[in-house]
Amino acid sequence: MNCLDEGIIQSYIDGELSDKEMSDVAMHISSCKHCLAQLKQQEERKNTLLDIMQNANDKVEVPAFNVPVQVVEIPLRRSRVWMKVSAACVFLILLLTTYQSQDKEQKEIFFYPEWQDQVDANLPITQQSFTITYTESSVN
Amino acid sequence: MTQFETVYQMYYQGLHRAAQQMLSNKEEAGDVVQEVFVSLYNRMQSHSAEINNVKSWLYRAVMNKCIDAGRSQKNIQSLEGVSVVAEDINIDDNNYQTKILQAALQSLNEKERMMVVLYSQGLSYKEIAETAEVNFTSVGKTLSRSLKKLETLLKHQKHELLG
Ligand SMILES: [Zn+2]
Repeated sequence: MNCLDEGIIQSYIDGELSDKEMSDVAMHISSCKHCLAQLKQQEERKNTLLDIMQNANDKVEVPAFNVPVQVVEIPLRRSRVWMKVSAACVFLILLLTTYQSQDKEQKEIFFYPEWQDQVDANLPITQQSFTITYTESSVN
Repeated sequence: MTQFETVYQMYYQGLHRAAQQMLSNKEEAGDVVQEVFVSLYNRMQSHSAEINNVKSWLYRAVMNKCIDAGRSQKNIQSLEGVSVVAEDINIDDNNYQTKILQAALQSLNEKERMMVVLYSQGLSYKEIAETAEVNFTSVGKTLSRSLKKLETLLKHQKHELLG
């Protein structure tokens, strides 16, 4: 076997050769002073350089990860507008029916629509709920 | 802890050090690593194609961004063969060992620097070959040459700095 090149020695040091190649290299080194010296030199170089590279540069603190904002704004806005319109319609119908049932006596009526819980824009209107507070007082 | 957080905690520091050694710039290195984790996060959220080896994927993404960033850096660092001295290294780190290392690394060419950085981060030859887009069988040879070159450059830098 001819003398080993530096690339083979490097791969041997890093354990990146096949089993067969590893044992061939070991065999050669055991009987060749020149390649043994080369191996020692490369091994030492590896250790020194890795030590420098792994310890240089200040160690940084791991910052908190900022979760990127999800892009779902367009459907959300659309359904919000649609829900406002629906709510306004319900309110108007109630207002009209209540108004018709009144007699000629003038009354002041207040409606306070109020959403129950958080509005979930991804649910249909039929699964949403809100209360309407209704107050009435006579106007004299 | 979610799968993402585990990966984030596990690889952040190594990736940051690798990016710093590629760019010689701590702030820019931080930006590169954040951007890469944002793309990983989005990928994991969207459940698109599985990533076989997250470590390889992350190092590859960081290296590619570093190369893009390095090429747009309008300084001497992108010019190969120009000798860089430790005083030129603008890193907010007064550790002279770091300055010497950065100056020496900047004097390697892009591919040599990348391979040495990946090697110091403990990537296998297979991972180095994939990330640096070189032939697997040439990794040992290129590494041994690059390490020898780096050793010489470090001696030279030390001599320059300490006289
Ligand atoms: Zn020999």
